[in-house]
Amino acid sequence: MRGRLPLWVLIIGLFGKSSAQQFEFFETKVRPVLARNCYSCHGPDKQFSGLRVDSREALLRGGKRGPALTPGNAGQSLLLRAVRHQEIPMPLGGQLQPTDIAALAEWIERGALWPNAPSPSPAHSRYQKLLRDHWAFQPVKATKPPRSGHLVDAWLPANPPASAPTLLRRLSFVLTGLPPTPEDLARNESFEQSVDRLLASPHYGEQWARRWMDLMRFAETRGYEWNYEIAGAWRYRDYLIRAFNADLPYSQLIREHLAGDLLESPRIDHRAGINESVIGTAFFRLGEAGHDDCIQFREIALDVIDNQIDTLTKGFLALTVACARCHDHKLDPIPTQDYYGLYGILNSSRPVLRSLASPAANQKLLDQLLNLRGRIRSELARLWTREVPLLSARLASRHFTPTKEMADLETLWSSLESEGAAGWQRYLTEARRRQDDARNNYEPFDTGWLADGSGIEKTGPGEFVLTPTGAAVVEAILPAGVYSGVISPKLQGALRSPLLPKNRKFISVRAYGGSLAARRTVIDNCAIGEQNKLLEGRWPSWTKSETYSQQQRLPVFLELVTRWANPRYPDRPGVLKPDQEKLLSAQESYFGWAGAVTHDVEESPREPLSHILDLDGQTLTTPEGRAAAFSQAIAAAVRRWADAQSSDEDARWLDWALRQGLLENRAEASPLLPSLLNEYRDTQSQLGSAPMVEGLADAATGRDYPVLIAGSPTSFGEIAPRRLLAGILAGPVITGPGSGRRELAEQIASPQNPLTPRVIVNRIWQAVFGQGLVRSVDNFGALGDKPEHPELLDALAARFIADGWSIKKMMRLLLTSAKFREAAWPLRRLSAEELRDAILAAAGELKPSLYGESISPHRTAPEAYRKLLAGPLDGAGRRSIYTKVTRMEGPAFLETFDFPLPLAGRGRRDVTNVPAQALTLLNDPFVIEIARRWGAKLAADSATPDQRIDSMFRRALSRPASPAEKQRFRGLAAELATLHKASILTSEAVWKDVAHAVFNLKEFLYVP
Amino acid sequence: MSPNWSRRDTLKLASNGFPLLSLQGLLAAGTHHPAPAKKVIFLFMPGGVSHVESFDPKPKLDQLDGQPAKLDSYVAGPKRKWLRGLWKFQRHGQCGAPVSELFPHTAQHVDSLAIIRSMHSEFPLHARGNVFLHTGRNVGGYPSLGSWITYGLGLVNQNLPGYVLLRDAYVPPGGMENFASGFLPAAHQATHVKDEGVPVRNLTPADPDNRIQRAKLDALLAQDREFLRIQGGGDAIESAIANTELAYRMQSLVPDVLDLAKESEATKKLYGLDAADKPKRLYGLQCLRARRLIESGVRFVEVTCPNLVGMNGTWDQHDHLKRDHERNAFVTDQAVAGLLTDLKQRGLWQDTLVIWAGEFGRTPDTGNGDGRDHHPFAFTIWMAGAGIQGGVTFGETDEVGDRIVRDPVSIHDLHATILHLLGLDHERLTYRFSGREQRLTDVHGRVVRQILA
Repeated sequence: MRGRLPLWVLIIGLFGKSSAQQFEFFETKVRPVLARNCYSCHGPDKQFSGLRVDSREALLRGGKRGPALTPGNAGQSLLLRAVRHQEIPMPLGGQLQPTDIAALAEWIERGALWPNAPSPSPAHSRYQKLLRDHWAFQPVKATKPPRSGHLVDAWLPANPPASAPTLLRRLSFVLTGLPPTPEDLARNESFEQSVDRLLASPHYGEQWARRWMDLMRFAETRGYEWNYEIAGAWRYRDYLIRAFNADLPYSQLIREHLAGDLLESPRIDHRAGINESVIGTAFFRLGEAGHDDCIQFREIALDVIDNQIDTLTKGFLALTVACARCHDHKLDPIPTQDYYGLYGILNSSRPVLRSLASPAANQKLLDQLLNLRGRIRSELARLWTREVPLLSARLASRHFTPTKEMADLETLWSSLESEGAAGWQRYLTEARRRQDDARNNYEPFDTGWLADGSGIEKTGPGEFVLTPTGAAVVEAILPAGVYSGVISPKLQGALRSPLLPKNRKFISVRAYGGSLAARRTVIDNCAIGEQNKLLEGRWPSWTKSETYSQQQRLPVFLELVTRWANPRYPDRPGVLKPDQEKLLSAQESYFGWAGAVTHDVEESPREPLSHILDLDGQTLTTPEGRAAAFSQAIAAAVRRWADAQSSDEDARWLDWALRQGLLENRAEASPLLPSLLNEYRDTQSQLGSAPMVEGLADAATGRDYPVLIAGSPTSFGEIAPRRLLAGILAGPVITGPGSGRRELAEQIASPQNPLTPRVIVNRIWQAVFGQGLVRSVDNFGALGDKPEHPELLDALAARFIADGWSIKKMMRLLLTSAKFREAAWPLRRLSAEELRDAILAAAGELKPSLYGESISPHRTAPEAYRKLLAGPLDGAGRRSIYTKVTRMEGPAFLETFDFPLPLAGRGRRDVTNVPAQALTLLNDPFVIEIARRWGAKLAADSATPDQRIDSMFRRALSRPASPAEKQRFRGLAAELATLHKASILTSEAVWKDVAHAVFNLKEFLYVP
Repeated sequence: MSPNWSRRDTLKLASNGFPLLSLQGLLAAGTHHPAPAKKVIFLFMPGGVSHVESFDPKPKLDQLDGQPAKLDSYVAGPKRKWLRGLWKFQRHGQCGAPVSELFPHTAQHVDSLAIIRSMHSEFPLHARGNVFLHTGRNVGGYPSLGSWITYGLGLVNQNLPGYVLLRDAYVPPGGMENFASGFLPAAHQATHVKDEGVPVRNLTPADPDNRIQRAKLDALLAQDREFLRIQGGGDAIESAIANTELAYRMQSLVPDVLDLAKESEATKKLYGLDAADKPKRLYGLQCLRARRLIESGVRFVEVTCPNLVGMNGTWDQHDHLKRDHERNAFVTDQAVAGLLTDLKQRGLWQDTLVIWAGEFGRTPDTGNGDGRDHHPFAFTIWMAGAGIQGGVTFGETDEVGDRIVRDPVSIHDLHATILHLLGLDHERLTYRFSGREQRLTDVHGRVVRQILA
């Protein structure tokens, strides 16, 4: 079911090959200039002087002054003479940039080509023809194999098999990226048993995860100027390892990548207490990103999503959709509408650093804490109730210490002292004024905020915060709101606003926070923008920020985040003060929120004075009356607090009373409180730290986006409905309230999708056989390679779906073919990681442990301010997948062997053969150090040189050494012993050098 | 260097280029058109040199100094003020081009320079600006200028890399993407040579005694040939074996090129290697190495600038403009001029193109009185050497140096011109990637013919 092609696809291909670039020039350099500067007076709406400039014909026809365009002659063209101010100076707003004028001149000189939409063009029929004929766009068709037996061998007759050790080495690298161990070599098992054993190895997941990370341009820092950390990126790597080991159905992997945060029943890892599914969306966030707010430089936001579209469509569909950002795709039937259909989906999603904690995480501890809070509250209520009769006397003798947030009560008290009734009247007036203000000037904006993180909940008035240390019990008593630190400041998370409205200039939020908690404005989904203001105080107060309402198209939202939920931390140098920098490693951080309003007036709202209306005004003018009135208000607040019936006003009175020492707040005042408080603090300290990972979230704000003409962020064209590739995949228009990622996930993971299963089966084929049935694994479009055996590819795709999208089953199928076991097999050079891991493994220096934070690559010149830190030379003995992938300067050893720069996803690495690789194997300190360790072990054992050589061959090459080889290497050892003037048997130096030679063997680097 | 290292190996290798056959240029038959330049030295001046205080004097700023400035710029604001040029200009040479007192040595060469005052870029951000200047795109992943050129022309000397980057420890904004080969084969990426410590990674033999390394390599060679015989594997194994041998020889060959022992004291002095100031000595060293590399047949040498203050490029003076521009000029000017002199006196001038450029200029106004901000709308670079018409000043900015009023030159135009000087047509130097014929100049670029000799 493919819709009729709309008119705008017709414009493509009007020109020959050389004109295509002129066309692009026109769309990027000419049309936007005309549209921005001229259309408003010489376009569809107005035609001053009778002139329109929005088509070639109109320019040629001209206006009252005659033709505006002389193709081929810029000097004679009125259009150019006008913008050069040689004739009527245009445009009226000021002269164009010289670059724009030069572009117009160049365009005219070249003949003023203007792609428009005349009668049916070759492009129309080309798009149609591709949709009809191109192999990859047709449904998967399962043909009967030409022969019976194994599916692969039925199509591809195989040559005789290789020897068992060769096969095991080949198999082991394909499945785990590691050589077989000497124990593996000694196993008495069939080839099929080896396949099954290695499929079940935990290292299988690591090998597939690393392949997948290439596709997702995995990196852990963001590049550009400051190379900010991508928080928790390593958790995504671990997620992949777990997913591939568990053989998560590929369709589910897709769903989790596209919309893991939106699944009805996400996968929960109960043992780890985390939601697995949401981690998938981290892939969106692994691209380059700067610290910009994306208002001045709109392109930056466009680039981030462009990279997401590129990664997603290349990775899952093997299509180069990103080519359609500025113009309709030249080769595949992908118009700009399709690109912006996806853009709308991603622009409607928001980037978040989210908590992974499942609802059940920490539950036991949280239950204990809640229980303790109940007991502490009762005891405090008892204590305070007992003190009520003493309040009046305490107040009468009181000299108040100023408090920041509660200053109203102190100033009221002193006004009453100095002015008496007049002071009271002033306050009453002021209270009413604030009420009126709140009504007239401020619009509530407090619904639809989304909390993320366990323990961040909406609470009623009177919730209390306990002190972390010291003799005092209560730190604050709060109004109704959403708080992160009420139960414990160790609970991390965020509170995010809906999109800010475009009809008000400002938003004010009533909030507080500490220990690096911040209030951030996220503009156009630029996740680490500069609008990052630290929260202060211990009680909510109003602060203001801009809504950026003049930026009509830009989605803007506000977030309050604790330290570990802040994507900017650790911040770039010089932003945080030294004492704040120290807080970066603290586990505690908290914020509170008690409402938000939008407004046009410059000032934020004032705190309400509603609590003073509780006072009895008649009595306030005398000292005794004042004390009595204040004590009554406090007493009433205590009473209601004890009954859990507090109002916001009560919270204010109680908090103030505590701050002024009017109510008992020392634990020792009660026989119960010291132990309760200790138990609380102790339990709190056991709370696990918050696992956080970057991802996407929806906020019920799905919005279609317009096509950007020539990719320019300010030239809006037609609205592009959110959908997945109207032509190729006939994706229906998405109309739901969300971003559309959930729908997108289903369409990509659909068994009817002609691309998804073929693309992944082809990738699996490449993983097994070294190159895909379709060699261009990332491009199944018109310019990609044709499949070598299309029927086989389709048969495998059909089998893959029938087998429940199981990658392991497909791997097993391919590996058990006779084709895989062939002796005549193209040598495969180890990948960078396989090489490094094999060096560690051969020397017995590889730590097999899985998971965890990454290890910085070894560096001789670290640059801490760019997050380029130095790690240990041996990478802590961990597999290379645990080496930190830092943008700006990657892991040097790995890059020498074609570890890809993580800029765009790629399914197939370069395999180069350059002298730098030989130099690395000869001289790199890592290689030398591991050879040294291996040599030390060898020199210390009791074996003969021949036995050692044989053992080295088994460990490094997965086979015994032949007599001739033993002789050769014995000879080498003897020569080295002479040169080192050392004993052949016990010299570490000799065996270090032999080990070094083994690492340099071509047979070590190339797997037969 | 150990006396055991044989020069004979080096000589033998020179006639044997097979391990690097893959590095023969795209244009095995030659260039697109006959051209003067064969090699390039790119003096990268990162951070943003103040154009109005180097090669584009603006007396008007002296008059406006201190008055409120209204620029159409991302930094525009109510507190901005015009800032006069902090250094005096003087006319130099027969052409009489004005050069500020920041660059007294370079000024002596002004009759050899083509000064382009009408450069413009797209983003006032270092990372994007740097990557744009190097790759013609403002996002990473595309090949650097040097990579395109070695891809197009191949190697001059089969035993040395085609693209060498002489740098200090500092990683510039945009990172190593600036010097990467992008989608071009990895062999075209820059080989990094640092100014301090070990100049090239893994070039120093791990075995102090050459005989030990040789013993290992001999055993290896025998074992590898056996592997090749039994296993087949053809080109890959043969090339890998050859690479091991080449690497062995490079251990002495490359240090020879970098070693200054054979340079006269006069030459060293010319580059300022006798300076008391360490950064100045190091920059001089890199410039002299640049000449030696060019002389030995490296196609494209890029020299970065010592990063003395700040973090986003040598010339990024948002404050302390006076102090730090002066310091940067002191560190670089003599060596740059020395390099020009040296190229001339050694007959390298005729086929070596020299480019002095950064990612953007600096604002004619100031926010703090002692600093200027990023200015991509107009800035100055210069080119010299092969195929360049000396003594030319091209392009013009307005009276305050804010916008270009005549002959704008884009980064794409600059690239097109550089390629043209090397005999490469920027519209025909292509590489198929991601479904299209990619170009350094994307779909843009015009050769600036007015500066050609």
